[in-house]
Amino acid sequence: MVNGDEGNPASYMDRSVMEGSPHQVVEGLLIGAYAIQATEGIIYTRSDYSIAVRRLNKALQQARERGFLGKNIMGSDFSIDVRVHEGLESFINGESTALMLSVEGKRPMPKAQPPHSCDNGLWGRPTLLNNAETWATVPAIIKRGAGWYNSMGPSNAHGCKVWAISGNIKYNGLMELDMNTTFRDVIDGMCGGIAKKKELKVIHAGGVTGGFLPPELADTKTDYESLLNAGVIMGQASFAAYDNSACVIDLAKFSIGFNEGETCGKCTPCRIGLTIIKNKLDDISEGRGKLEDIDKLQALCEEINVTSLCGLGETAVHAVLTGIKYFRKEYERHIVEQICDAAKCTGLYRYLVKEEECVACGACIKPCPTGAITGGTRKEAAHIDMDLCINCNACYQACNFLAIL
Amino acid sequence: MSFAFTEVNEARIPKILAKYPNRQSALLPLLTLVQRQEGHVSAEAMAEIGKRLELSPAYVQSVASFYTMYHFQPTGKYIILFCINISCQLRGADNLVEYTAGKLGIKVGETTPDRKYTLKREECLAACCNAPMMRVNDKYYEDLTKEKIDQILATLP
Repeated sequence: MVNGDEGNPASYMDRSVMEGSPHQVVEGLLIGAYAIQATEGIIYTRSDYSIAVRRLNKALQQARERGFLGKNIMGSDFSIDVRVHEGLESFINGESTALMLSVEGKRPMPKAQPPHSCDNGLWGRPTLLNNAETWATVPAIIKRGAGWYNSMGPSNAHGCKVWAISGNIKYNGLMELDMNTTFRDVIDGMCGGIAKKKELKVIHAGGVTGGFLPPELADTKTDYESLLNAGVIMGQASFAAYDNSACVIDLAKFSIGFNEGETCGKCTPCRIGLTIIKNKLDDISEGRGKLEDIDKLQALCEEINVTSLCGLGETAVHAVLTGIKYFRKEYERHIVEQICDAAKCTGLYRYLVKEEECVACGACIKPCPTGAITGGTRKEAAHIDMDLCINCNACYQACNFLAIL
Repeated sequence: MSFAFTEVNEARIPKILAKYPNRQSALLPLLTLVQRQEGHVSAEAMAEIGKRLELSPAYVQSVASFYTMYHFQPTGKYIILFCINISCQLRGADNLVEYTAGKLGIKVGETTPDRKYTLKREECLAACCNAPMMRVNDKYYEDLTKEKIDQILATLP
């Protein structure tokens, strides 16, 4: 069975492989099916991936016509048929037990494992499930041999992985990386680096299931073990590099908010725990935070991590855990000094010009709809008249030097 | 309001059912079929699907309501879904959604009075390389700008 359901923010490698190379997925699935002598194959994909659905069906049709699919394949006694199941996008559907429930036409709420799906899977039968991208690597490995594949990557993680890369960098997109590659190689090398006058602040690895790494850890290799040691996971294999206009608390709010919305609601730690975390983060970003909240958050996250039923709850808390681990100072600055250096937390906005940072370029004056900004030209720092200011944030967005708080 | 499958879709149902060892598995494909036909999934349609698959209407609704991509209220001819997830958000999707809402004169989540457009926010639609993007019915429009949205809306018949 092929898992081609993608609901993870900022990742689209399955779509790209199913659209760009559907035959590779089908061939991989057939090789896997032959290995375990399966008689039925299912490719699960989102119904709104209309191009992928069309091309997969065409690839299957071509395989049938050439006798690679169907009864007694190539004269052997091995028979299998493969169908495309058009499901719907939902983040939790990517979880293996939820995916199978979805195909069975039931509410996709993950089941406790064991029994694992290889013993008791779809319709109660043993099921071998892999991601579309994983299946697509199989034909090349069979053709060139395991030695070739093992020659790539470090000794504890062979091969390569497609990463979806985005953020405040020059070039983004999908990249297939040897696992020896470090984040710095990718950001500064292949992606053309961070924009001028700004610097790397945080690497968000693993998407909404992952966590945040500081620039000091940019030399971390992108293999499973190195990532785990750093406190994040590969997850959906996507990472985003943000410059200093990003706020770690704002990013954590996004990740937690997403997971809170996508939780299936079956187990308590995830359903209620994530809501509590979200409320606490809202408090901090709106100026109601207390210092002891940091430790409370950390304890709560660790608890959710070990008690959740499936991977969603386990991994959702990485965003807060790594945030506190590497960016504790930023949390404290939000709570004690009530300052968000990236000016992302609107509840803490003050619209004050940092005079020492202001270069008097005048960029903030024009966008201001109420004419609240004076000065700002001829070497005189800008000044915002708070009686006229309507907190529209236009001046902050216009400022190229992060001089407005 | 009553619901009936069109003739073309009626012919598709046996083919869908034949793909699975039991009837229940055809639930999502049939719900998708209904949404493609009607633009939304009504209570009557869910009852009809329940009848075909030997499931109670409540069960059909419990599965359908899990997904944000099924619409339970009547929608416009064009369903505009804006991705507001991280990559698109970073590239200004929020402003574009507001712009489109202002242009159509509705709030996000609403349908225009002439039932032509429905505007919604949606989580990742998997086109991050060309963010920001929107989906109009089944078609993806990428690398959006305000001017491009004007153009696209003007070309929709």
